[in-house]
Amino acid sequence: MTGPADDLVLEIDDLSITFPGGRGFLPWQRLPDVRAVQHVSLSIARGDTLGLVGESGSGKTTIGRAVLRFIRPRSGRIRVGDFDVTGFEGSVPRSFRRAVQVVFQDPVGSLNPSMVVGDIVGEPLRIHAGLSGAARQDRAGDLLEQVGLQRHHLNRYPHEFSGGQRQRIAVARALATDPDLLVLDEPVSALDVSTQSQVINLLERLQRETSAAYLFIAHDLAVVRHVCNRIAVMYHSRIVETGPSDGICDAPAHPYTELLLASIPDPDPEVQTGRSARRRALTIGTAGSVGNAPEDGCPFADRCPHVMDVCRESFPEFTPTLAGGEVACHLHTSGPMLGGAPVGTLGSVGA
Amino acid sequence: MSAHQSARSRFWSRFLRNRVSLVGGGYLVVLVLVAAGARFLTPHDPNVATRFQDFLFPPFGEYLLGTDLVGRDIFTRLLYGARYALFAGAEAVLIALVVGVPLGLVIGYFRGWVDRIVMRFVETVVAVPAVVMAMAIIAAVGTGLTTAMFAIGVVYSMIITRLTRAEVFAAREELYVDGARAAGATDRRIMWKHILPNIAPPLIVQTTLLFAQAVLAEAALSFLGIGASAHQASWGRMLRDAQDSIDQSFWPAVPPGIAVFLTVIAFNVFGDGLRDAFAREARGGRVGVGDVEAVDPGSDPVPPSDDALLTIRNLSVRFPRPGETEDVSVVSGVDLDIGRGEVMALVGESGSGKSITAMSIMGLVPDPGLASAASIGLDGRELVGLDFDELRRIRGHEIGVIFQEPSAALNPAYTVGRQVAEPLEVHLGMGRRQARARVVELMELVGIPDPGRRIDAYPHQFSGGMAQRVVIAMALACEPKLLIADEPTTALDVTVQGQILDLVGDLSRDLGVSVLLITHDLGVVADLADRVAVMYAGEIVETGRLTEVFADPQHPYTEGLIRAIPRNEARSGELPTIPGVVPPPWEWPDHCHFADRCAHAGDACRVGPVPLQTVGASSVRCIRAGEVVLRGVRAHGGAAS
Repeated sequence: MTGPADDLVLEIDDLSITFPGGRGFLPWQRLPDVRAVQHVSLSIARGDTLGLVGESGSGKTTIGRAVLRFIRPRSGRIRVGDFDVTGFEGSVPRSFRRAVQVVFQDPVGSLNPSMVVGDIVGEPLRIHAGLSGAARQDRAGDLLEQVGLQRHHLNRYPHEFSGGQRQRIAVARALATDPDLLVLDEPVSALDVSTQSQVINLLERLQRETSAAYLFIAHDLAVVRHVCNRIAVMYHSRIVETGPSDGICDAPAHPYTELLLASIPDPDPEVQTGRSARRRALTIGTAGSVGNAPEDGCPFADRCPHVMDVCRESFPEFTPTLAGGEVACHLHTSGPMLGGAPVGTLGSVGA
Repeated sequence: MSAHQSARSRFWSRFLRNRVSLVGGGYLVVLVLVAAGARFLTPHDPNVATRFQDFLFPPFGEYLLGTDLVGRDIFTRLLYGARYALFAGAEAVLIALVVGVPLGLVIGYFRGWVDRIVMRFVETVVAVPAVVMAMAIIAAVGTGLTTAMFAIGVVYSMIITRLTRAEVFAAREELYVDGARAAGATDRRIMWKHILPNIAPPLIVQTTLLFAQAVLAEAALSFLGIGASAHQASWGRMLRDAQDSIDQSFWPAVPPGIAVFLTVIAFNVFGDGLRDAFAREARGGRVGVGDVEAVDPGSDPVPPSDDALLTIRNLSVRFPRPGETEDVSVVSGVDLDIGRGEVMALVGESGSGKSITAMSIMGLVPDPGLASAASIGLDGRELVGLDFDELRRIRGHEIGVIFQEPSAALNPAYTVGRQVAEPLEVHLGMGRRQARARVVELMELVGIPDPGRRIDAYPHQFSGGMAQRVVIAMALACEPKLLIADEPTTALDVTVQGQILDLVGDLSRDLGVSVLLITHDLGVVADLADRVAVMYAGEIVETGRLTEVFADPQHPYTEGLIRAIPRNEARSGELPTIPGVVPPPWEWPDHCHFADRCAHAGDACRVGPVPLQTVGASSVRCIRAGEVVLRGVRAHGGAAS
C-alpha cells in the first residue's frame, strides 16, 4: 500500500501519450494520431512493486519508456523522486539516469554483443561513479556476485551465457547505480519457467536489500500476482482497474480483469476444465485489441459481455472496489450498480 | 574469453575454407610485398630508359616483360605500379572512411532535418558516375594522382555515409542502445562504443570492395591523363603510354591491363569471402535437411500399440561439434506413440530437444545434424529410409505443421487465400476454382469471420490470433492425419491463446486429427492434451496420461516443472525453482541427465544410463521412482478458478 506522499518514488498524473499517425497515400495526407496512453495515473512507494499488466498494444511498455524519458508524453506529469521528468528541457540530467534504471524483456538484444560483461556492467560505474581500471572491475565483480554470477565472468561476452544468466547481467548493470526506481519491462517473459522463478527470487532479494521501487511490466497476471504488492490492469491505452494483488486476482471488479484471469491456463486439468469454460463464457467475438483506442467510451466495450449503451459514450469514473482498489467500469456506477463488488457476483455469464 | 576467441577463430576458419577468397587474399598479400620491395626485385629504374635505347623490346632475357615506347623496362614499371595502385586505393578509401563513417553515424543517429539535407546531397553525388564526378572535382582543384584520388575519395565517402546511416538506423533501435541510454551514456559514447562496433562488418566489406573500385578509378583517370603524371609509373599511366604505341605493338598494354584486372578481382573475391564469413556468423548456421538413418531397434523394443497413428522407436539426433571428432547427441533414444485423434504434449525447457524431435519426424533436421531411428511409423507406413521427395509428399499432406510465430509462417507478398490454396494445388492437384472454394470452407472451419471477403486479404491485415488461424487452415488443408503444433500460442496474447487452444481441441475432436503439441507451458498442456511426454536434456524422462502425470508425477523434473509454474493463487515464501540450468549437450553425462539439479539424487543415480521403467500407468526414467514422494498439481491446495 502507498505510504506517506513524500515516500513515493514514482508518481504519474493524468499521463497521455500519442504517436503521430503515418503519412497517407498522398504526401499531404496524415493519418490520425495513435492514442497509446490516455489519462493514466499511478504511484509507487519506496520498496514497493507495482505490476502493470496488459496485452500487447495496451500501452504498458509506452508508459515505461515515458518514465525513462525515452519518449515525451503529450500531456500529464511524471515525477521520480525530486525529478520532474516531464519538465526536463533539452538533455536529461545525469543524476536522473542514476536514479532510474531498466531491465528489458529480450535477454539477447539488451546486451551489446561486442562488449565483455565487465564493460557492460562497468559502464554505469564509469559514468556515474567515475570509477576506472581495477576499482571498476572490482565493483563490477561484486555486482556479478550479488546477482549469482561469478567474478571470472567479467571477461566473457554476452553470447556465452544462457537466457537466465543474461538477465542476471542486465540486473547487475541496472543495480550498478544503486537506483531508486527500476523499470522491469517483461523481465522474465522470455525465460523458461524454472529460470523465471530464479530471476524473480533474485529481484525480490535485491529489493529487500536496496529498497528500490519496481515498476514491473508484464502480460502474465499469475507472475505479476506473485511479484507485486499492487497491480494496475491496462486495456488499450487505459487503466481499467488497480488494487492490491491478491484482491484483484481473487475478486476482479472489471470484466477485462476477469477475462484475463480466466485465460491463465492452470496445470491442474480439473481446474483448467472449469476455467476454460468460464473463459469461453466471457469471450465475445474473436478480435483482440485492434485499431486506434476510442477517445471517449470504454475501449473494452466491443469485447465486454456486459456492455451497455453508456459504455460507448463515456469512459467511466474510477470507483473504489471492495478489494481495496479502484475500477473504471459503468457496471459499478450505472446499470447493475456493483458498487465495487467483484464482477463475478453478477452471476455467471451465459451459464 | 575462450569462447569468444573460438567465435573469432570460427570466423577465420570459415573464411579460410572459402578457397577462392583465400587465393584473392594471397594475391593481395603478394601485391603488398611487391609494392614494398619493388626496389629489390628489379635492377632497373622505372623511369629511366635502358642503356641501349631498346624501344619496344619484346619480352626476353633481361627485359622480362619487354620495354615500352621510350625503352623503360615494363616489368620494373609493373612492380612500382603496385605501389601507386595501393597508395591510390588507400588514399581514396581512407578519405571515404574519415568523412563517411562519422557523418553517417551522426545523421543516422540524430536524423531530423540535417539528415534530410545531407541525404539529398549524397543522393545527388551518388547519382553521377564516380569517375565523371571526380573529373569535375579535378577540374576545380587541378590534376595529379593525389588530387585525383582525393576526388575519388570524396565521392566514395558519400557511399560510405549512406551505408553507415542505413546501418545506424537499424542498430539504434536495438535494446542495448536503450540500455546504454538508461545507464546515462552520452550520445557520442553510444555512437562510438555501442553502435559502431556492431555495424563494422558491412563497413569492412564495403571498404574492401571500394578499394577495388579505387584501383580501377586510378587506372581510368591516369589513362585519361588527369591522374598519375608522366614520371609516375602507375598502371593507368602505363596503359596511356601503351596507347601511344598501339599501332607499333599491342604488347605494352597487356601486363598493366592484367595487373589491374587481377587486383580488382582479388579485392572483390576477398570482400565477398569476408561478407560470407560475417553473414554466417550472424545467422549461426544454414538450415538444411538430412535424411533419417535407420538403426537397430535396440535390445528391447516396445511393440507399437494397435491404435497408434505415429510410432517412433529409438530416435536420436546428433550434431558434429566444430573442432571435435566426436558428434554430440541432442536427442537420444526417444520412443513415442500417438494414438488416433489423441493430443500428445511434448514438454520441457528450451534446449531439451523437443522441437528437434518433432522436426525429425518429417525429416527436417537442421543442416549438419544427423537423425537416426529404428522406426518412424505413420499410419502403418515406415518413414525411415524414405528419400527427400517422398518425405516432401508426406509433409503438408499427411502431416500439417503450426509454428510459434504466425507472422513468420506466412509470406507477406501473397494473399492468405493463395497461401492456403497452395498445398491443395500441389498435393491434391486441385484447380484454382476448386481450391478457392475449399479455402473458404477451411477459413470458415478455423473461425475466420467473413471468409469470402478475407480470402483476398494480405497477412498484415490480420491480427496475431487471426493469422494463426490462417496457419492452422493451411496445416489442415490436405486433411492431415497428424498436426504438429510447435508452441502454437506462445507468441499470442493470453486472451487469444485460449481461443486458439479451443480451436485446436475442437478440430482434433471433430476431424479425428492427432496432435503433437510442443510447449513449455504446463497450463496449455492441461488445457489440451490427453497424454504427455516430459523431455529433459534429449531424453524422455516421464510419459503417461495427462491426469496421472500431473496429479502424481514420478520424476523429480516433472515435479519441478509443475511447482515452478506461476498459478493464480496466494503466494507463500520464495517461488519454487529448479536450481541451475539445462547444461549444453556436450556436458550431458552418461548417467541420469538430471542428477546434478535433482534434490533426490544419490550416488546410485550417477552410475550408469537410466532406462525408462513402468510405474503404474506411466513410464519413468528414474531409479528412485516410486521411492521418493513427489507433489503434483493438487498439492498446492485449492486453486481459485
